This record gives sequence, structure tokens and C-alpha cells, in this order.
Amino acid sequence: VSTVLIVGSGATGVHFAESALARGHQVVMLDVGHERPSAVAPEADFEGLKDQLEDPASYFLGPSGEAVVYPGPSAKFYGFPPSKSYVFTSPAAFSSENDGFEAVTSFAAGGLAEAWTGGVYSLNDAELAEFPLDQADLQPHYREIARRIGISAADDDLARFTPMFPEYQPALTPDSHTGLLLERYARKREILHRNLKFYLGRSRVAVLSRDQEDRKACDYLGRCLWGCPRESLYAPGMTLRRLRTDSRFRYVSGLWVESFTTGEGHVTGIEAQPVTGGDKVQFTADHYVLAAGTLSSSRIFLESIYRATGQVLELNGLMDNRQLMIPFLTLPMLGRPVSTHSYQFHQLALGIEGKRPDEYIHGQMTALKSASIHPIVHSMPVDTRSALAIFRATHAALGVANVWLHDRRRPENVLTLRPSGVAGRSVMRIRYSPAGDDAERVEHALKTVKKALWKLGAIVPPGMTKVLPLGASIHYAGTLPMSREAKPLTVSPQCRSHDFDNLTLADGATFPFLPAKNLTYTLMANAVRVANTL
Amino acid sequence: LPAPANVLDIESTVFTRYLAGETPSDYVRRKYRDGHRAIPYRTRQDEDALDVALTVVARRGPVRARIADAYARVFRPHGVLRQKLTLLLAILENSPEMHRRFTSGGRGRLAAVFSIGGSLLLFGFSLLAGLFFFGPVHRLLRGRRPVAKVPA
Repeated sequence: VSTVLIVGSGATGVHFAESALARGHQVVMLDVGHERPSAVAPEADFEGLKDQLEDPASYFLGPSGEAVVYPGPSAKFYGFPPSKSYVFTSPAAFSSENDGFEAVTSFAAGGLAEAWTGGVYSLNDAELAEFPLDQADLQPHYREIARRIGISAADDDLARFTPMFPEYQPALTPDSHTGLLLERYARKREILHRNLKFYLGRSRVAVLSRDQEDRKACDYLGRCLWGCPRESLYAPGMTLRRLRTDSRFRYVSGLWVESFTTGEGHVTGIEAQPVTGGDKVQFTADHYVLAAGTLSSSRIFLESIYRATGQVLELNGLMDNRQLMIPFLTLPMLGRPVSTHSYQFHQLALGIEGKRPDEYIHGQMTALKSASIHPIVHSMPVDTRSALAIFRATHAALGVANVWLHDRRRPENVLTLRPSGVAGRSVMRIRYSPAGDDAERVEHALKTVKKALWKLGAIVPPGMTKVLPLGASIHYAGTLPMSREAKPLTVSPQCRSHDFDNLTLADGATFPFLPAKNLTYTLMANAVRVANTL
Repeated sequence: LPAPANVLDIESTVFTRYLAGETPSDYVRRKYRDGHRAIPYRTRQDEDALDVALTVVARRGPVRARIADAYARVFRPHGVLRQKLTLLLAILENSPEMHRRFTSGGRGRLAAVFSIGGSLLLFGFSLLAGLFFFGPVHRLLRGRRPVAKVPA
């Protein structure tokens, strides 16, 4: 029995830990670990919350309206709820400088996936071509994750891109807008396949359509964005809670891991700083696992080398999916009633075949139901009163397609450190330039999606499409990639560092290519695969 | 200018009548006042004389609010008045008394088309009126710092 020390409690960390425990190891997990607040009025639906809470505006907008989305050039169509602010709160010791990149990190118990929308799509062999493994290597682990977290899906046209597994639960009940788009797709699918290589199907989502252990099936309360009170929508904090009942698992929160100590190609310990101040704490183990997310794991790796050698290295190849946000209006839905009793996030996913299989374009479509109205209203090109009337008339017809494009490792995209920032601590620095064909690929994706939406009876209002800055999709990868060759600053196919023999990197840092599909499912499956090789 | 809290109460009353056709509850008034602690223009301190003019005119009644808002939507889309209206709308859509007003009841496609068409027309008229009233003022005030700040 060996002791495994894991840094980070996100989607990769908790599933690595679960598999390591299953193999008989002792596990210590270090984490900053901001905790999720408990759910308010757990039986209330979206509208009911506004009736039942004493101060609903504080719940939805924050005590001083901090979550109001004001008009501005970078305003989004939705506000981030105060109940999820714990996900993005950083310790004072952490800082970053970004050039061409909007870096997002999480120090929450459960990590970034505490605020995800549950999209889970397995990668196929074409997307894994640059990995030193293939779909067959990952498949048992995808299935294991499906058993653990619960995934609902339907066997439809998207199965050609992302296969169905027997562990999947039936798809959620579609809302009326989703149902109408599916009906229209069924009538137009041959044309859409032939002319646009466009495919539509039900989202694969980490949401229960059947009860599983102590979690309840989705009851369509419409509160997904603010935190599912039934825990139907999976979040890694749920696995963490279960792990903490195991006597062989020790969770130490309130610690910000700065670096590991090294000697002769070996990690000898971890140094962590209490977030509330005080002396550094040292931990030792037999094996060390960085699972803090691509950016934080890379930062710890670089800081460790800097402290050991005085060298400031650059990790190149940072990747993120370019994200497009395409609002649409489905004309046959105009004037129809809206029910907020629905799964709030995307119920449809789209796939567009690329010229090459790995250039597949992926997207998720969300019909607007329960949501904050004001960001949508102020973005309309008319006065607020007119915009409100137009919103009421079009509410049932509104939706948004979020579309992602693949990314490749390129040497100009660099993550490094600037030593001696605030209080003598290093600052994480990121430089990112889009690929040369970025504009062309964005235009192709926009045109194809707009044409497909038109075939489905939807129009895209002019001027409302947003091409989000790099970093915004939070699908980070590629800084310490898997490689069969034992090169410095890479890891083995088992994600074991080629620089330090008892160090494993368990997160997206190890991915040598970033497909367009949402990454978290593969991150979790890969963490299980790697943990099983310990 | 009146004391800030009083001004904000006048604003929430006029703007609620403009947006929802009703008088605001004490809860809405209080949240509107509280919301001005985090409203962007107060931290950025970047309002100019046109912002002051639009806000002062808008708080004189719902019709003037609509005209000022239409003008601001085109010529000052991220300015003080638009921020204040956005804050109030965010509060109204989350207030116990009014939130259901903002959800579509589904009155049918024809009603929806008429509603959209009517709203666009009204916006057009409001913008024309705004151009008439604020256009010359805008030219006159271009680049000037306000004599008085937008209260609160």
C-alpha cells in the first residue's frame, strides 16, 4: 500500500482518488477548497424561489447587485449567479498576467466543473490520433465514469461522432422548443447532412433521468444555473463528499500548493501555504499527482523547477477551444407560452464534419426558459421598454448555440512565470495568439450554423453573435503533453512525468490535441485510466 | 439637486412606471438604492454632461424616460441611464410582486407579431423625439464634464 498525494479536487482529482482507493492506496488530497453553499428552498422551482425567498434579488443578483450584467462591449447574455461565486474566488497569493488570453481558474472544492453545464462527449479515434492511446484504451474508463456520475443521452445521429454506452440513462424530457427543433431536423436531416455536413441530436449530459444512490432524477425545477438542489446535475463535489467517508482518504483544505521539492529526478515533498496565512506546511508521499487543472498544475510544475534551479521555463502549446455564441430565434415558436419547468441548460448538441475528421466542429443548443432577462433585454437594439415587449413576444422562440472549434499545440502559446510578484510570489504569465486560420474557421462555423438554423426555421438576429476571447471556453490543455518519447516537459502515455519519476499529471495539461468537444468527460476517464496504472 | 436617496426613490418610481406600468414596492426601492453601491458608473467616474442630461430628463416621467432611453440606446448605449434601467429591470425580474410579469404567457403568433411591430414603431418615434430634443444638446455638450455629478 502506498500513499498517493493529489493536488486539486476537481473532476480529475476526485476520480483519480476514487480509482486509487479502489486499488488499495491511501490518498491525501490537498486543496484550497472553497465550499459550495447549501441549497436554499430545495423543493422550490425557479419561479417559486422568487415567491418564497425573503430577499430573492440578493439570491439572484447578490446583496448589492454584483451579478447584474450591465451593458458593455463584453457583456454576455447571462449573469453568473452569486451562489456559484465560490467557484471562481482566488486566494490572495494567486495572480496572473494574460496577453491574448482570458485565464479562468478555480479553487473550489470540486473545481471548475462545479459550474459546468454537464456536457459529456467521448472522443473518437480521429480526435485521439495525436494521443499515444486510442478510443479502445479509454472506452472502459468512459463507461466507469458513466456509472459513477450518471449520464443521460439518446441514440441518435450524434452517435457517429460520440458513441453510446450501455451505462447511459434515457435522455431527459425535451422542452417544447427543443422538441420542435428535433421535429424539423427529422424532416430536413438528409439535406443538412448532404449540404452542410450538419448533424443534430440530444445532448449527452451528466444529469440523472433516474435516481442513483442518494441523488435524485431531474425534476425539471429550472434551477440548474443556480445550483441543482436535487443534485441531479453531477458536480465533482459530490464524489468528494463520498470520498471523505472513506477512512483511507484524507482531505486537507485551506492550503494553496505553491511547489513541490525535488531531488535527482524525484519529487521529495509538497509545500503548501495556508490561505489564511501562517507557516508553510510540508507533505510527503510515495507518489504525487497534479490534478489542479491545466493552468494551476503547470504553474506548480514551473514554480518547483524555478525554486530548485533558479530557471524560469516556458511551457508552450497551451490550447483552448475558440467559442462562438450564436443566439437564434425559432420563428414557429413566436408567441408560444414558456414553461420554466425544464432542464435549463442545453438539450441539443450539434456536430459539423470537418474537412478532416479531427476538424469536427461541436456545439450545444440551449432553448431559453428560466434565465436572467435583463442581459438579453439590454442587448436588443431598441429602448428598454420596447425590448421588454419584444422579449415577451419572442421568449419561447429564443435560444443560443454555443459552438467550439478545435485547437492545436503551437509554440507561440506559452505559459510561464514572472518571479517575485506580490509578496515575493511568482505571477503566472500567459501569451496566446490565435491560429493563422482562426478567422477562416470562425467564419465557416458561423456560416454553417446559421444556414442550418435557417433550415430548422430559426434566424440569427444580426449583430448579436459573439466570438468569445480565447480562454473563455475554459477548456485548457497541452502544456505538458503525453509523448511516447521521454522528452523533458512531457509525460508518458500513462501521464507519468518524464522529468520526475514519481509525479503524475492527471489533467488536461497532458493532452497533445484539443478536439472541439467538451473536455471534462475525457479528463475524468483519463484520470481513471492513469490511476489504474499506479 | 435633491438628496441622493430621495433622487433614487424618484428614479425607481418613474422608471418602474416606464418599464412595468406600476408603482414600485418598498422592496424594489430599497434594492435600487442598494444596487447603486456596485453600479459601474460610480466606480468608473466617467459620466459626462450628456449622461447627466439624459438621466435628469428621464426621471421627470415615463414618456421622457422612454425618449431619453431610446436616444441613449443609440448614442450612449453603455452610459449612466442604461445602467440604471438595467439595474432596475434586474431587480424587477427578481422581485416577488413583479417577476411573473416578465415571463411570456403565450398570446399567440399574431399577437407576438403585432407586439414586435408596435414596439419597433414606438422605438422609432421615441428615437425621433430623442434626436429632436437631445441631438442639439448632445452637440453642445460634447466632451464636457458635468457641472454636477449624476446623484448617487
